[in-house]
Amino acid sequence: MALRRSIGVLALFAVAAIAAPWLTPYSPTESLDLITAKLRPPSWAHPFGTDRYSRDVLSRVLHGARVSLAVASLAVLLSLLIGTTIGAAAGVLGGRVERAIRGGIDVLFSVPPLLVLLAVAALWEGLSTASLVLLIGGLSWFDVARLVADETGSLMTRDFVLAAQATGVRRLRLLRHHLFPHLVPLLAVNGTLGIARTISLEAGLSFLGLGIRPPAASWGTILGDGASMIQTAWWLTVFPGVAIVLAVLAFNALGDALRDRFAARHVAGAADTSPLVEPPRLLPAPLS
Amino acid sequence: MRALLSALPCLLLTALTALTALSACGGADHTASDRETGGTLIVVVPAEPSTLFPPLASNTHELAVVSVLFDRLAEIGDDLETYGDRGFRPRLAASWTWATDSLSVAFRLDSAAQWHDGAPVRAEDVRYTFAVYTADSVGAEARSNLGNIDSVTVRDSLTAVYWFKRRMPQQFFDAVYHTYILPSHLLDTIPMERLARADVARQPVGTGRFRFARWDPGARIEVIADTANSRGRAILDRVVWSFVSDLGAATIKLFAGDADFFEMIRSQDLPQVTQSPTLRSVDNRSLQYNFLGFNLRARGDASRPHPIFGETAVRRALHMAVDRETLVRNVFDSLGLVALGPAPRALIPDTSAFNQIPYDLAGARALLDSIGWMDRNADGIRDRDGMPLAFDLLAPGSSEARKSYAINLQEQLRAIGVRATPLLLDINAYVTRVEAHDFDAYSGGWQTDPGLQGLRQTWRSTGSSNYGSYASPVFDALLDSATSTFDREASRGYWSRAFQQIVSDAPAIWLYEQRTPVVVHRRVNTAPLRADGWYHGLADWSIAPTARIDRDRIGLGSAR
Amino acid sequence: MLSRLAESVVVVFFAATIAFILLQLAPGDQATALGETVSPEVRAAYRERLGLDQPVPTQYLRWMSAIAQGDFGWSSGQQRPVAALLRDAIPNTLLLMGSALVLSLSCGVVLGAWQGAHANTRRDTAISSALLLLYSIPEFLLALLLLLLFAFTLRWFPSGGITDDLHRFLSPPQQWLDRVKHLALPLLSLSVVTIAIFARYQRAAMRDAMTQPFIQTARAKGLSEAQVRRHARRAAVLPVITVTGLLFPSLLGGAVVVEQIFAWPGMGWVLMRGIGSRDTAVVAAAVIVGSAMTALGALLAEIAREVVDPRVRHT
Repeated sequence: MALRRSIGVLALFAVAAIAAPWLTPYSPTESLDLITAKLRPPSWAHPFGTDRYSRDVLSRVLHGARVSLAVASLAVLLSLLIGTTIGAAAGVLGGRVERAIRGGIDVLFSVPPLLVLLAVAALWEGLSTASLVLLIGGLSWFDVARLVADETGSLMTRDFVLAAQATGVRRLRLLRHHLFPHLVPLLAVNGTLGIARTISLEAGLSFLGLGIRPPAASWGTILGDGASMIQTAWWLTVFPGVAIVLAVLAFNALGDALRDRFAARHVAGAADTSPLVEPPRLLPAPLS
Repeated sequence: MRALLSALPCLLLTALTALTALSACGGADHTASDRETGGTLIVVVPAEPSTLFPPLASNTHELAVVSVLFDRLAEIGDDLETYGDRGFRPRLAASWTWATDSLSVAFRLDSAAQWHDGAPVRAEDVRYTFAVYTADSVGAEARSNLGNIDSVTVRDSLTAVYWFKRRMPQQFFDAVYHTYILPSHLLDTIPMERLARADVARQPVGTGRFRFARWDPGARIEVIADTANSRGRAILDRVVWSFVSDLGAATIKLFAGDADFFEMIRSQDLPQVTQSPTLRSVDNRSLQYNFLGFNLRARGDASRPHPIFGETAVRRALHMAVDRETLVRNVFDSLGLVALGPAPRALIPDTSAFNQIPYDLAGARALLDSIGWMDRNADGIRDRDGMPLAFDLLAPGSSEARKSYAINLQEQLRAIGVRATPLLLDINAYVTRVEAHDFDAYSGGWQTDPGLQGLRQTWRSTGSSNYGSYASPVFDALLDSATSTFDREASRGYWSRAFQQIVSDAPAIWLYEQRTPVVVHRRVNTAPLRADGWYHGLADWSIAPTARIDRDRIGLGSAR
Repeated sequence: MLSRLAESVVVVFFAATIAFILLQLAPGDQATALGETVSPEVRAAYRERLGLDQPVPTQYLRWMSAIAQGDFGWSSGQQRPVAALLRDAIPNTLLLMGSALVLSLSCGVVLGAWQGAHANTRRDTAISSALLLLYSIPEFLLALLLLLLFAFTLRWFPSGGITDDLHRFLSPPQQWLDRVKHLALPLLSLSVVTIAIFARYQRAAMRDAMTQPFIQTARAKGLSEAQVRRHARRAAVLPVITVTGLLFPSLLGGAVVVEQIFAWPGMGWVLMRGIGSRDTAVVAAAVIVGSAMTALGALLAEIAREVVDPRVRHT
């Protein structure tokens, strides 16, 4: 139920983002008329009103969906890639390598990613969208790596893996064919929740003026632009705000639903120590 | 149009009255009870000062506090006459005498004047102050205005003599306007390059009718009346500058009754002020103009011209592409005017004597085409020799207006195939970058001094604040002639030609002048607001006892 | 335990190294920040005084030893030592984060424990959905909404700052009230998300505990339902404590945004001002201090875990 509903909402967002140029007749960056069309409240012509540069807010929110969703998805994809690689390496190799990796991750965990993001944005004065993706992705793989290390570690002791190893399957092949399929649920859940987190992280950065640079705009940028006029022009903050909350909510709900589904299947399959059993959403389950 | 000449007769009149009644008078219609001491004024400002050391105070928020804590030798009159010494009133100096050749002037200090720590003010302080303001290791912005002063000497403990290099119509203004006298007895043991970091930069000791009380970092600066002041204590007990970086929050503070004064009201909030029972808005002339300045020299290598803006035709083309009238109406509604050149209208002798670059999109495109800037790779941006016509546009993010302008300009320039990327920085970072000439184009604004002297500092090739490195020998010569001739009619002619020269060279796009009404609580009687800074008469502001509210009854609190 | 302490030291060391690397990689240095108008000789002298002309390893050693001595350099934006800035800001951040932690822990645990005991009832599901919604509102958006509603429209609370401008002239009880009023909105903005997180953890832990054998034993022994729940709550406290330790990075991230919106003069606000004014020393210090705070939070959580659960001590 929740699964279907959140997928529905997300599909709607995806369509809106992809079809943005065809859904609205206006450009998101072009001023319509600096004098007569500025700060108009919502109307038939402009359902979300216009901003102080007389730009159509609906177009901006629709095009903003592209930026917000793309940045979040790509960054999360990157973090999954890095996290899985490093985590699996720790799990499969075990021993000293694993201890070193885990120790490293513990240390990395203590450096708040937002601070590093802000510092980098400050020192390099505004980042391109691509480097923003790289940075966010590069700073959010720690928990994925830890989870994957836990999971592969426990998988390594399972019969089918031991059997495969006994028949001389090489490690890489083992990883790809035997372990990875078992990691998919974990990655799917974590990725979905990660997207939710990253959308609000990017929105926060852009709101602070350190994320997406104009003229490109994400939901956070649009919101930040309108924040100073929140009393007189509510439509500048309400619409992008609703978009952010809806998208984050949908991804969170989807993540929850996915986890419930996988957990049910998992439990039915075999007893395990999978972190998916209970709702460690932001963080890995520490119930060791 | 306020031209200086037409205002001259009334200036003479005020100068005469000032002679008979030497005390500085505030609003004319104050009754005796209005002048009763007491009251607390809370001023909201959008940025925290980074220093209260007068030579380094550069933005208006720093100058506001500095000007109530420190004094000049003589104070310019409310009419801001800079010609000769006619409009000036005694301040730290009780009187002054000119040498017969007019190449030196001796200031006789007020013998009763003393520093807030009780030490008397001495001529040595004046000599020391000049040394600090002109020292390389201090880097005072006013330094370039002091170029005509050869030296300052001490004749006796109460007499300091300014020696000039040349006779100039505005030499007296030059001598007194730019420097606040510093306490040498507290500072001269500190090496000059360390002054900025010394405690006195954050806990200033001055001679003003207000004295420094405390500075809560990130929150507020508080000054209180100096009860021992020889010119009489300030009428108000206390002024608090409260830092609120968000203009919306600042306005709310005002409407909620938690603040009394705000000088950056947005046009969208003005209707609410008129409806408010406790607030009024006061029209405030201000001597400011704003522009988009181009860097004419390459970044990082001042010996080469800027690859884009080094060429006059490019700058003119960009100027032609900007619809200044529309931008003013978009950002300010009725609270702004298109700027005509590098000075506010109020200071330009004859605004009709020079021509503006017209708004002409087709012309702009044709001009860029003709000099080889064309969109060869069809990406919407013109290019030449493989370089796109693209640049960063520096603007202080703290100013809504300049932020709006930056984004509007980005859009207007895009229409002719130019990519300008706004880079919004905190005011301090912005100033650092601009002062370091580390920019392509910047959204600039000058709150000018009275008179047109400031142009030497801001646009002359040798000017210390000529951040875009505009260098025109013709403009320099006209400027020199205009400021050095004692013939006012000739000066007018020079000025007109100088303005024409710089407007045609387009080292900047002259964008707007702002009408800046200030909002003040109704219970506060303000002195006349001077165009070079509303705060200059602050010691004479008062609150009638009958109109006082809770915070006016606090008293001096932790006075000395 | 000791290893945790050692780890905290490693974290600070690591953060200082990251900050150093960032400063090295970033374009320009403090000497170029002096500007072009400064003569090359002055700039060279400045470089020499700051040791910027030294080889990178030497600079690194100097940097580390300065930080070990609590010297974080000079803030160009505020014209005073960074250490002085930190002294002003850190207590404010600790006040905000500490009270947010107390508030969200107490609310979250109570809410989650109730839910866990009544798992899968209609009210439990409703609360879960509500919490999911609250959890999905980014802090900055919540802060903005609270600001609009309670400060701008209703004017119940001030729109920012930590005390009133005339705070020091108030009577002690008024001063106290003034502080609470200023704290209310930032605290709420920061706490809502963490309340949701704690509630979810507590609910799950509680539900888990309720199915444990010892609970069934207790039930069988004829203990009342309230007593049974008390047992379960005690068993469920451990995971919540662990989460607390792990929550610090995101709590700190939230604090940055909330402090910025409410002009709360803590670390986040100092950092944002530092960023705005390209005050590199302040930015570097913020990264280091933020990491140290996070590591310290994890350490405290570890200690709390030990106190609560003797089993941990043996491992």
